[in-house]
Amino acid sequence: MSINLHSTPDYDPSYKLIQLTPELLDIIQDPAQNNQLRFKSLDKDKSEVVLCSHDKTWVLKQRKHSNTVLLMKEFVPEQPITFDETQLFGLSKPYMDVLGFAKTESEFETRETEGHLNLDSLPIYNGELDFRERTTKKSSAKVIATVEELLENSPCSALEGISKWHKIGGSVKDGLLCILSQDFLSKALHVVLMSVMAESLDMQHLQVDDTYHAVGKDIEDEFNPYTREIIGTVLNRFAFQEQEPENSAWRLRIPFIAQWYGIQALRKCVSGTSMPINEFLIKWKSLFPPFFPCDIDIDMLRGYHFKPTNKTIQYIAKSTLPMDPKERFKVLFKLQSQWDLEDIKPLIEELNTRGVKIDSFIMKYARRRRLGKKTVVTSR
Amino acid sequence: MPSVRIDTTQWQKLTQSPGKQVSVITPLGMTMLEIQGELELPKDFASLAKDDSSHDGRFSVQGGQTIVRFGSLQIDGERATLFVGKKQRLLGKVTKLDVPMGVMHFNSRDNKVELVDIMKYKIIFKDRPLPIM
Repeated sequence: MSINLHSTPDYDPSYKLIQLTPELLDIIQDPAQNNQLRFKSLDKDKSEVVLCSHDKTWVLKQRKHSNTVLLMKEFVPEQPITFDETQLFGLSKPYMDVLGFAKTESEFETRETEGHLNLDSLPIYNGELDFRERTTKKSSAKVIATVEELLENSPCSALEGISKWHKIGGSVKDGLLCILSQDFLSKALHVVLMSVMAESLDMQHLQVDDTYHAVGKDIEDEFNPYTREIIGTVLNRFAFQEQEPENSAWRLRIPFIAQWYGIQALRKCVSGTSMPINEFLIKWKSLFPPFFPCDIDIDMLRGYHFKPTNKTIQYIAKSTLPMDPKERFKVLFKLQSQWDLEDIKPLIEELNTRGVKIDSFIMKYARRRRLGKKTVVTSR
Repeated sequence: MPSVRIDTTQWQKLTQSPGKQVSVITPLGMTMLEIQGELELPKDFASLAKDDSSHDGRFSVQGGQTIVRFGSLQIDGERATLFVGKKQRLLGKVTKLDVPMGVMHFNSRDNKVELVDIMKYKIIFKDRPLPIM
C-alpha cells in the first residue's frame, strides 16, 4: 500500500520542533502539571528563551541543519485524486494522502539549566524611613510590587524562583519588592533572635505573627522597620519552613545562623589583618545575642578565611579571587602555602565547571599528599 | 517580559487514551519526512495547475489552496521507498527518534503557543536518489 505525498506552495514557518526529554514528556502527559509549562525570555530579540515547568527550567538551543524536514499531515482530498497508474511504478494503489505543510530548518534542543531571577530593577532596603518616596523618585524603572510579577519577569520556574528569592533575602517594603541589605538583614536577624529569646518562643516552632508581635514589643513608640513581611523574610532566610496540616511553622537553622554571625565577625575583625584563632572565636561569640544557644567551630567558616600562620586567621572574599583556576591557585598559595583539602575545596569548587572529581581537579593545578589522617594541598 | 503558556489541551483531548504510538503516523495523522538534500518543487503552482492539460493529476485544490502531488511513499516494516516525480527513487527507513519532538505552533497574532503533536518516529532518506527504471 502506498501513500500519496502532496505539498503546499508555501510552508508555514510558525511550526517549530522542540526536543522533549523524558522528563518534559512526563510533564506534558500529566494534566496536573502541563498547564504550567511556558516559554519565557527576557526580551524579544537578544536573550535566551527558556522553557519552565513548575519546578524546573530548560534552556533552548537552536540546532540548524541543511536537510529537508517536512511535517506532513493526513487529509481527505476534496476531489478524488486521479492520475495515470503507470506513475505508481508498480506500487499498490494509494490508500492515504498526506500534505507537507511545514518545513523546519532547525530543531530546538532542551537542556536543563538553573533558573535566574531578574533582579535588575529591584531596590535595596537598608531600613530607611522614607524608602518608598526615595525609590519611586530615583528610579525610572518599572516598580515591581509582587513576587508573582517578579517570577513572570524572570527566566526561571516558580519553585526555583521562590527558593532563590528567600535565599537572597527578598522582601516587600511599603508595597515595593526589594532586597534587604546584608547589614539590615543582620540587624533584623539579631532583633528577631533577641525578641524570640526574651519572649521564650520555641525556636523549633516559630510563627510569623508571634515573632512579629514579639519584635514589636521591644520597639514601641519608635519607627519600626521590622514589618510582618521583613520578619517573614528573616524566617525564610534563616529557618526551615515545616508544613503542618493546620499552619506552617519555622524551625531556626542554628548552625547556619552561627555561620552567618561568623562571616560577619570575619568581615568586621579580620578583614585585611589577621588575629589569633582563639581571640577570633571570642569575638565571634560576642556578636550573638546573650545566651544564644549555639556551638561554634572555625571549620564552619570554610570558604571564607585563610590561615596566614598555623594559629591565626584572616578573612578572604571569594568574589575578589581570580576566575582563572591557575591564577586562583597561585593567589591562594601566596596567602597560605599549605592548605587542608577541606579548607581549600569551597574556594575552588566553583571553577570545576566540567564537574570532574574534585581531587582530580586539584591535582591538575596543585600537589596533594596525605599527612596522617589529613590530606594537604600545596603548590607544584 | 515575553512569557507565553504552552497550550496542550487539544493534544491531550485527542490522544487521551495514550495507546502507544507504534506507527510512523501519529494518532493525529502527522508524520515527519527527512531527506538529506533539497526537495525541489515547481515554483508557481497556480499557473502550472491551469496548464495541467495532460491531466497527470499533479495539482489539486484543497481548502482553497492549490497543492501539488510530488510523489508516492511505500512503507514496508522499517524500509521506506520514496518515488519523487517521474524520475527519482529514494531508499530510506523508518527510525525512532532518540528524543521525541514536540511540534509547537507559534501563533504570533494572539501570542499563543500550542503543542500540536509529538513525533516519536521519522522517515529518513539518507542516500542519493536512484533512477526509476
